[in-house]
Amino acid sequence: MKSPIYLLQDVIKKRSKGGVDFTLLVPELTIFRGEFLAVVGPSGCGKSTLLDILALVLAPGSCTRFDIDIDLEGELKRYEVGVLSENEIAGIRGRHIGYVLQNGGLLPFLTVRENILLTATISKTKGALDKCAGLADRLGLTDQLDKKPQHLSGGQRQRAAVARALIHHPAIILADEPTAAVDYPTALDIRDELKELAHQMGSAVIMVTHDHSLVEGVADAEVQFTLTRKSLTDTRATISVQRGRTVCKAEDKKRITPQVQPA
Amino acid sequence: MIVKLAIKDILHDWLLSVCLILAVAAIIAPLLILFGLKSGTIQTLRGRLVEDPKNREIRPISSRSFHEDWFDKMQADYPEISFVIPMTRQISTSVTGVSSAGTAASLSLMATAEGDPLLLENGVEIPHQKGCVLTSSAASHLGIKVGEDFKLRTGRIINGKTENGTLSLRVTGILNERASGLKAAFVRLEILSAVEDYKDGRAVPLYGWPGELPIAYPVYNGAVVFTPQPLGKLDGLMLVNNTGFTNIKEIGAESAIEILGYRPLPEWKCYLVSVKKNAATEESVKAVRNKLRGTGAVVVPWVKQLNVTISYPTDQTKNLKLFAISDKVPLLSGLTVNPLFLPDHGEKKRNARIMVPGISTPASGQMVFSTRTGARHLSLPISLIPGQQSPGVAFAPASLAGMINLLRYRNITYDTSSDNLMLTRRGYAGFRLYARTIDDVDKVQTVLERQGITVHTQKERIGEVRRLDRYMSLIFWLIATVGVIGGISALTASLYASVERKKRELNILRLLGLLKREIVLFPVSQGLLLSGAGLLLASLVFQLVALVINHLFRSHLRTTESLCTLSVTHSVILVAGICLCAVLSAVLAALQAIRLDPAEALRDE
Repeated sequence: MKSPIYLLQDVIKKRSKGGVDFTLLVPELTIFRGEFLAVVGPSGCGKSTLLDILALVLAPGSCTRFDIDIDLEGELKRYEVGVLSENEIAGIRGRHIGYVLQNGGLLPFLTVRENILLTATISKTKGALDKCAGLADRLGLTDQLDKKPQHLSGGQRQRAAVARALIHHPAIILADEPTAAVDYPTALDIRDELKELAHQMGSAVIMVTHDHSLVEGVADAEVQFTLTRKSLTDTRATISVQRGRTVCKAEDKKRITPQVQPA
Repeated sequence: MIVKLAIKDILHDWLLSVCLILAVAAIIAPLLILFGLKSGTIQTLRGRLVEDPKNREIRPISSRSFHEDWFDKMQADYPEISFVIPMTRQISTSVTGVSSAGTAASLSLMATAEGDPLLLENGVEIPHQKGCVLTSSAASHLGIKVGEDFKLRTGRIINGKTENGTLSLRVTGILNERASGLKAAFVRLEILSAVEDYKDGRAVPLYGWPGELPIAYPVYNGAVVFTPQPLGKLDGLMLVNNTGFTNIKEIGAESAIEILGYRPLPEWKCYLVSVKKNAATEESVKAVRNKLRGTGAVVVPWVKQLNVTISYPTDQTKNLKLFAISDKVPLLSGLTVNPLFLPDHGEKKRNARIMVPGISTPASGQMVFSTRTGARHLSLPISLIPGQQSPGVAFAPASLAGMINLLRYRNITYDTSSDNLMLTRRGYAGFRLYARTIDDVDKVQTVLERQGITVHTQKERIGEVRRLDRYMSLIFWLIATVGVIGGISALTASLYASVERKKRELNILRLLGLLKREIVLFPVSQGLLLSGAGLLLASLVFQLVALVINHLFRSHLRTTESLCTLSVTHSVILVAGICLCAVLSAVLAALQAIRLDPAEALRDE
């Protein structure tokens, strides 16, 4: 059995926006090392909230357990997120989490190479230049390294973002709709590249997407949302995890469509 | 790393960066020019009005005698006094100037000397011994220019007859209207003294002006009365009544030798009539003599023992006690007197005769007498006459001793050409004094008033100038305050907006795991770099504008003056203020930008 990297129990996050309350309930969520976890759901179901909590940029309202276990060269280090200071959290983010944003999230004033090396610099990774060259070669970015992101195509930009998220070999890779802005075949390519590279490094990938077909049969596990509407202004989303590559069939989508229940 | 990122971002967005730099420069440059004008004009005004020597001038209101030593002492003791020069009595300063064309104008003479700020600070050189600086009004009345000669005429009325003394002077400079509106001529002090002497009836040999010589007169400290019979109480009182003397006391044989230097014969009763403070003259002695007429009494003038140093021809010097004796001394004490010592010996010109012990033949020597305080000295050649008195005692004829005694009260010198002891100038009636700055005027006034000298200062004018200075500063500060507030707002707004544009990048950096303070450093360093560049540009513009302004007004400015200038302090304050402003607005904007959860901020776009 693989060891867990995320251990969440009874995590509740309530958000209010424009007079509408939204509550995300996580009764239990365990994510294992090297796992490919898909977070699928339509917009507004709490995907991003969950990702923000996992990315440590959003503090949960309450939780009985929120631990991150990192394998530091064979030694297990447990971080209890609730008691960490802001700087320690930033440190974890810099060293152990890779982030792939929807539009790449590349800094426009840096070249592709500088963008990729940025995370390596922040996490003080050694041999960053070689790793950068290796990743660029693997992702077909070698010719693009000295260009500014604005001169790249959408797919190249996302690949650069993947490279930036992977160069420091993080234990966790968070991908927020990484393929939303590219065409379908490219999206599939990028998904495969991300999965394969993460697999080589033993990193867990948590990928948020609204497109179920993109993760179908690929993800090791899938997070599903069950929406209950208490009132017009109060929505609750409860998550559950399904494991196994076959669980994510197309007909499952129906189960996660919002179910409106009378208050 | 953060700073490097910030620079890369500035270069990447170079067009926007240039816009921001231009905006900052556009905000700062007018402020710089405003402050430059403020400090420049205020400084120039201060320089012109506040430090104008006219405003620092102090003059006594009433005339009184100021000894030459007083001037030296004042200059030495008070660093607040930049210059002080004697003035003669008002009446002795009025002279007539006559140009070579014959135009005459009455002038006031003023003394001047090296360091006179009224002349120097108005760009006129101090005149030499035969030179003169005229005020512009005097020059135009006389119709003469620099380099021309004119005659100075001073007049006096002696015994109902008008007499004139003239002196030729060259105009070495003309003082502008602003410095003095008077019709005045500035000359060396000796010319002013000579004019006063001449007006007082005295001769001025230097300029060939005739008159009387100020020969020293004898003064006595009392008289000694020798009577064959003791004086009654009433007779004694008579001698101090209306004679000029105030004290009378009988002196015994023993104290007589201390007082007189010789022992009187026992048949004489001796009384000393004396004055308490001031000296008495020959008149007082005569008055006592008249009161005792017919009683067989002998009255001789008395001078308090003078401690003199006499040089013998053998290069030997002796400190002796000098007493006055009269020709009656053989009758009074039985002392024999060398006939050479007696007056009216027949020889017209000869040195003062002093009877000294310890020599056998007459010789010539030198005598020095200093007052007890050492302030005044007198040295004169003497003829040494042998005498039989006790060692340590020298005798001089009463009138000579009296003249030497005068040194105790005022300065006298020995004049070789006339072989006379001459009175020297007692002092000056007034002065013209300049404080170093207008702020010192008050202090100098206090010093003078503590000495009992009532003075006139330009207090009112100083007050006015100070008020003007204050109001102008106030107006400038008001304008500057509005400008500064506007500048700060504009600067803050521009920098804030530029950070706001960087919100996305800041949040990406945050997501990548940078610490909050590192993220704040990004806009802060950008703000500093951009406003620094703006400041640089603005100072270039300022330098250019200042150059143009100063060039345009150059004809109205003196070489050291500048209408538009910034002091180092002001520049430092400005730079610090702008940097502070940049940092503050950047920090505020950055904190505002990363207040939201980073992922949220990115998704909002």
